[in-house]
Amino acid sequence: METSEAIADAALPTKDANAMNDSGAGFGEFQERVAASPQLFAELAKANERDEFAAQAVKLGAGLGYRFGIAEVHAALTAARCAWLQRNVG
Amino acid sequence: MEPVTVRNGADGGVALDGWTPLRLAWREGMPLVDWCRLGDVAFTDPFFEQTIGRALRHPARLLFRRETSMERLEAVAHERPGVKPAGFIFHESRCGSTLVAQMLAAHLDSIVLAEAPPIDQVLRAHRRDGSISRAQRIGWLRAMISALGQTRRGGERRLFVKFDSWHALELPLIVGAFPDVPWVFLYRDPVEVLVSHQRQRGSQMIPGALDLRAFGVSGWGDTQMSLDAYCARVLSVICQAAVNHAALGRGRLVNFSELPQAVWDETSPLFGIEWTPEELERMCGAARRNSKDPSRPHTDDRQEKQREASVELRRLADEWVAPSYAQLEALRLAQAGGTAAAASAESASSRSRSQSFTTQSITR
Repeated sequence: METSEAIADAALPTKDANAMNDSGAGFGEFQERVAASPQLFAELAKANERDEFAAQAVKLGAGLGYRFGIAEVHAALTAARCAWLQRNVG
Repeated sequence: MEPVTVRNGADGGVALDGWTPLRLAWREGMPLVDWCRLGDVAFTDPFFEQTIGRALRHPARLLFRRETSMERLEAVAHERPGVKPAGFIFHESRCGSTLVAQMLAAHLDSIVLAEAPPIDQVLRAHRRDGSISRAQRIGWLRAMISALGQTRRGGERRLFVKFDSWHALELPLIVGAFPDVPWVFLYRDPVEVLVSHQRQRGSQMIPGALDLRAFGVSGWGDTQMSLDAYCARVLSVICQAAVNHAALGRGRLVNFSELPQAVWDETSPLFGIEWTPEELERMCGAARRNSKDPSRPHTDDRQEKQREASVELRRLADEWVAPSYAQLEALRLAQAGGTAAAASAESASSRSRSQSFTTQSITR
């Protein structure tokens, strides 16, 4: 069994991969799923650098039926960084 | 990109093992707890924010966070109480509190939460929403400290909280929430504190950065009050709060001039800690480094700050801070006298142990 398949089995069984393909679930849904799964998080936490992380996220997400690209991951990282830096504004 | 939000009613089953609160995030007028998987990242930096900033450089920690209700925070505290607080550190600012925190953090079995924003945000939540009650803040404070005080490396058994300087005003609430936890209030010669803020002002010394009502400083904006004058007034309010609340719970006053020796002679016995020789050596090592930049050695800057003080700064110190400083000194000396007899046998053995680790170069 490949790593991504093992992780998919271990992750919360809340969403079916084929259904995800049909519904076109994207990065937001993937983010929710990883936040709820220690196994998925641990797999992605192995990547320390942005490019490596983005590539790993796309690969892992595709294996679970989520559709998003590297650019979306980079955009999400940039948005999260900006939101954190501006957390005390307003 | 905001963290995954799990709203009220939906987060009852959310497992939060391994998650740490980073802050309160207000959404549509409601406080939510922003959590991150910190893993084994320990709070070893001089300030909580530095550790969090370091942790969030990792893409997975930055991106995969979640938000829950305050009710979930309280439920988590009930399920996993965390390490019980051993001691609280209050301070005037720029008076050695970071040194004390770093000395305590030198031990692998200690968790030191140094000026953690989520604690501050809980304490000031009622400024944001006037309907938040004192009882709610007490419950949230207990829960937040519990959630922050979880073991991460394994083996942690002591928890210390260094509060923000303005939290001296909240001593009644904090002592009410933790009546058994001993605390210290650190303070320093007013001129030296004012010079330090003149060099680099703390956020609380910038009018508008914090809610002015917290300090009750009036007149800003109506007059030509200088930043130094504002700073002196804020210091006065903080020190006066310590004077007013000195008798609450198990408190003790510590002057900067007593550091670092006071950490093992006064603070540690108060916190119920008996350090081993190895632990004392670690604390001495921490005391030899600059507490806010541990890569640099500590230098005694008292004379330098005294020389740097202008006539106007000395006048402000005398007018605004010196009266409460004098009261703190009187209370401290009374405390020392009152406990001297009872503690003589215990401290004699403690001193004889610690003196071998006390070097002339470590003076504050």
